[in-house]
Amino acid sequence: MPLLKSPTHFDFMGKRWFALTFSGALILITVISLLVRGMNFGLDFTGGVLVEVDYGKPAKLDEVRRALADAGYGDAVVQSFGTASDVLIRLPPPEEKAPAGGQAGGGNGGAEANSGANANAEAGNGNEAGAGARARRGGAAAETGPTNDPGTVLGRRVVEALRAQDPNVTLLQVQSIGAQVGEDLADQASMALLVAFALVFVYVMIRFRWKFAAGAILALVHDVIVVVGWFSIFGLTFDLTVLAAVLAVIGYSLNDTIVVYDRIRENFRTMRRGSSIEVMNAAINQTLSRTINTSLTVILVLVALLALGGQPVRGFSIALIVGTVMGTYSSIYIASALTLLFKVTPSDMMPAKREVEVDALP
Amino acid sequence: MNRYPMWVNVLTVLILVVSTILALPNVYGEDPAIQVSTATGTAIDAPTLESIRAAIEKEDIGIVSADIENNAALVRFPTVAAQLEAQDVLRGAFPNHVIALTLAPRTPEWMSALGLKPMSLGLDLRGGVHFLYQVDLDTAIRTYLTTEEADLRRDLREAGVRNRLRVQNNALLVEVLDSADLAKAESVIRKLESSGVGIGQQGLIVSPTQIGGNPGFRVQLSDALIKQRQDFAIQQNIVTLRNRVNELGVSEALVQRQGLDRILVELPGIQDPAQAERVLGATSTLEFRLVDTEANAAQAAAQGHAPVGDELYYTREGVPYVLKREPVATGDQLVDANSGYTQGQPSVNVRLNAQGARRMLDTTTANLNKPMAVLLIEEKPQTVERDGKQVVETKTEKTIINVATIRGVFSSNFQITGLSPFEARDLALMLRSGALSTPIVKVEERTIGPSLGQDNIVKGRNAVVVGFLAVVLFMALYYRVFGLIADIALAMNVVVIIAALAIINSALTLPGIAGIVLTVGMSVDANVLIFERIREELRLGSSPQASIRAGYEKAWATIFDSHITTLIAALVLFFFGTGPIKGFAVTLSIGIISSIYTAVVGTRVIVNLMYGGRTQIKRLPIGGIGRMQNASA
Repeated sequence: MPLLKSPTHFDFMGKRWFALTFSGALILITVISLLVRGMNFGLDFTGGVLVEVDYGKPAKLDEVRRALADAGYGDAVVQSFGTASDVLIRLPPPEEKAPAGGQAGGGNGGAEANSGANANAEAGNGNEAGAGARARRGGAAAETGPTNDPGTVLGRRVVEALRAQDPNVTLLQVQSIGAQVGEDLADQASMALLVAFALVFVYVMIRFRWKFAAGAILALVHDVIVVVGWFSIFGLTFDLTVLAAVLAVIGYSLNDTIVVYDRIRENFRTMRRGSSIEVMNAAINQTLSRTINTSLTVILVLVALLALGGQPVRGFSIALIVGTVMGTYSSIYIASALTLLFKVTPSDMMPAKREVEVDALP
Repeated sequence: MNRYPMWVNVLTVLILVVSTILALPNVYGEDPAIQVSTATGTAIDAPTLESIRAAIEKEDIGIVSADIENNAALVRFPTVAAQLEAQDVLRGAFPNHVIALTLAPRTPEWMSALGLKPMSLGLDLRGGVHFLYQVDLDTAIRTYLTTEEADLRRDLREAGVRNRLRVQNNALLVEVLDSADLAKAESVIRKLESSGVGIGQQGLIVSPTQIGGNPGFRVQLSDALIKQRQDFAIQQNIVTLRNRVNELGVSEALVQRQGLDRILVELPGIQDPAQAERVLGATSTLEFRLVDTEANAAQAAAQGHAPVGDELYYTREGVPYVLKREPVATGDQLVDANSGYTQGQPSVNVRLNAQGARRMLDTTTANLNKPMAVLLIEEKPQTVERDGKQVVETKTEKTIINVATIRGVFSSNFQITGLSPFEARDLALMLRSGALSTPIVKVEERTIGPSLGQDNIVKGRNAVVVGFLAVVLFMALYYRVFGLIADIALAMNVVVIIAALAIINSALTLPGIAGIVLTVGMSVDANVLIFERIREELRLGSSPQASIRAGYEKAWATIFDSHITTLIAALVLFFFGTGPIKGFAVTLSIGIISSIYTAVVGTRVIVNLMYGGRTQIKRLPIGGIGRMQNASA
C-alpha cells in the first residue's frame, strides 16, 4: 500500500548539526554557570534553619534583619516570599559536634569534654544541649529522653527573636535540619538519579538496540543538564521537590523518545527504500502532532500548577516545564541524531521480526 | 468488530462505581476540632460537656457542634482560628484534661458505618510538628562495653589475673600485666564471645593484641551484635516515644522507624514543638526493691507514711506496699527484658549487669520467699499556672508496677512469672522503657502552622481544577467527540486515584496533589496516541471501524512502553524519597497505572458502545480530517 504524503514534511534530520551545536552550547553554558554561580541548594540538602512568617502587613525587611542581628543572627538571609507580608528567613546550620564523634577518652568520664564543646556551640543553645549531654552520660540516673543537636533549637530561638520585635507576627512554618541529615539526603539523591538512569538504559536496551538506548540516555542526560543549568543561571532553589521533578522528567522525557523510536523501527520495516535519514525524518514527521500535543497538555497543567500552586511547588513546576520542553526538543532532534551518529541500519531492526508479521495483518 | 465482551463493560462500570463510593467521603470535608478527654481514660459526662461548651461560648468563640464521641468530648469549629483560640481557653479552664487539636471528618453516619473515611492529609496540609531523631549508636556501643568491662574485671580478678581494662574507640582493651596469666586470661575472655546473641551467632569478637608493651586482648562488637544493639535501641526508644505521644492525646500521631538508625515522630495539630518535646522528653527509671514484710501496709497507708527506713508506694491499681528504702538493682543495671514463656508459663526474662547481679545474688540468698517489687519512677512535665503564666514543671511519679515472690537464688538472669501473657508483655515493655536507654538526638524539626496547611490545600485544589479544565477543553477542541470521551476517562482516572489513596491509607501531601495534576496532563497522552493513529488510518483510507481497531491496537505497545518508563522513575522516587516526596511518588505511580486502564479500556468501552455495532458511519467526529474522504465500509 503506497504511503500517502504525511501532513507535515519537515526535514528534521537535515538540520541536525545545527541542533546538536545548539544543544552543545546549552550544555556549555550550564557548565560555566555551575562553575561560576554554583547551585542554590535548598534546606533539604544543606541543613540549616528556615523560618517563614506573616506580618499581616507589608514587612520591613531591614527592621527584621536588624532585630535578628541584635539577637546574634547576623548571617541570616531575609527575603520576601510570595506576598509582601510574607518573609522568609534562612540560616546555615551552626557548627555542630556530631553527638557520637569527638568523645575523647573512654567510659563515663570522657563525656564531660564533649558536652563542654557543645555548650559553646550556639549563643543560648549550649545550656540546653550541654546539660542534656552531661546528664545523659553521667550514667547515674537512667534517662529515656531525647536531646537536641544545636541546629534544631536554633529555629525556635529565631522565632523568639522575631516575636520580641513584633508580637503579632504569625508563624507559618519553621524547619530546622541538621547538616548531617542534609548530607545524607544529597547522597541518596545522587543514588536515585544514577539508579533511574541505569534502569532506563536497561529498559530501552531490552526494547530496542543498544545504539538506541545510548542515544536515548544521552538525550535524557542533556535534558537534565539543561534543567539544572536553568536553576543555576536563575539562582532558583534546588530542593527535594525539584529533584522529584527531575526524576519525573527522566521518566516522561523518555516517553517522547520511545514514541519516535517505535515509529522509526516500524518505518525501517515498512519502507524498503530510503536512507536512514529519510526513514527517521518520516517517523518524526508522522509522530509530530502527537509529540507536540502531549507536551502541550502537560505544559498546560504545569502552568496551572505554577500559577496557582504557590511557593511550595514553584521550583517543581518550573523544573518540569523546562524539562518537558527540552524533552520534546531532544526527542525530535537529539535522540535520533545521536543514533544516526552511531550509524544505525535496517539490520539493527531485525530482531523484531516477530512483530513484522503481526503488523502485516489488515 | 469493536465490541467488548460484556464482562469488560461490567468490570469498568464496577470500578467506576466502587471508586466513586470510596472517594465520596472526601467531598464532605473536615472540621477543625478539639478533643477533650480525661487523663485516666474514663468517659466525659454530659455535665462536663456543658461546662466545656460554656467556657468556649463565654469567650464568644463560635462552635459548630459539641458531642461526646468515643468517651471524649469533640467540639467542632467553623475555622482554624476559632479552634486555636478555644484551645487556649480550654487549657486554662481544664488543666487536668488532655486537650488535643484534630480534624474531625464530616462523613455522615451511614458512611462511617461502612468504614469509609476521607483521605488522611500529610503534615504540610494539616499543620503540625515533625521530629526526626537519630540513635546515638557510638554511645550505645560504649555503654555495652562498659557493662562488659565491669563483669570482666570481676571475673579476671577471681581468676587471679592482674589486668588493666579500659574502653577506647568502641573497643574494650584488656591488658594482661603478668604474661604468665595469659592462658588463664584468655579462657575467661573467650567466654564473652557467645554472650549477648543467639546460639550460633558471634557476639563479641576477641582478638589478641599488644597494649602498651604488654600482651592483651581487644574486645569488639561483631556486626551482628552491633545490629542487635541498634535494633534494641531503636525499639526501646520507639516504645518510650509512643507512650509519651499517647499521653499527648494527639490523634493520628506517627512514631516510626526511618532507615537504619532514625525515628520519625509526627504530631498533627500540635503547634508548640517545645511543649511537645518536653512531654516526649520525660525521663523514667526503675528500681527493684524488697518489700518490708514486717511493716503493716494498710496501717501505713492510713497514716500516710511508712516507718523509718521504709517508703510507702502504691501499685497502679492503688494497692499500698511498704518498700525498703534501698534499691536492690536500678534501671541502669538492667541490660535487657523481654517477655516469653518459661515452662509453659508466660514470663518476663530479665538480665542484669555485674553490679546489679551481685546485689541481686546477695539479696535473693538472704530473702528467699519474700516479695520484691519493681518501682517505676517517672518525671513527667506538666503545664501549670503560676502567677498567671503557663509554666512547665516536672512532677515525679513513683508507681509499683510489679510485686513478685523470690522463689530461688539468682543473680544476673531471672524470670518473673505469675502473669497473664498480656501482663508479661506490658511489664517487659515498662522494664525496657525504664532501663538505661540509648540516647537519641534530634536531627530535624519542622513546624507547620495550620494556616499554611489550609493555604496549601486551597492552592492544590485550585491547581487541580484549573489544570483539569484546561486539558478537558483542549481535548474537546482538538479531538471533538473523541476528545470528550477522553475527558470522561480522565475524570474517572482522578476518582480512581483518590479511591486508591483511601484504600492504602496513604497521606496526601502537596507534592502528592502535584502528582495528581501531572497525571492529568500525562494520562491524556495515551488517548492522543490512539486518536492520532485513528486519524492516520482514516487518512490512509480505512473504514471507521477498521480505523478505530487499528488505532487502539497499534498504539498499545507505545502506550505501554511510555507509561512503564515514567513508572520506573516514580518507583525510584518512591524508594529513595521520604515525607512529602513519597506522597508524590505514590500518586504518580497510582495515576500512571490507573490511566493505562481508563485511557485504553475506559475510552474503548464508550467508543464501542457509541460506534461499535454501526456499519454505516459516514464520519468519525475525531477532528483533523479536513476535507479527506473516508472510504466506505
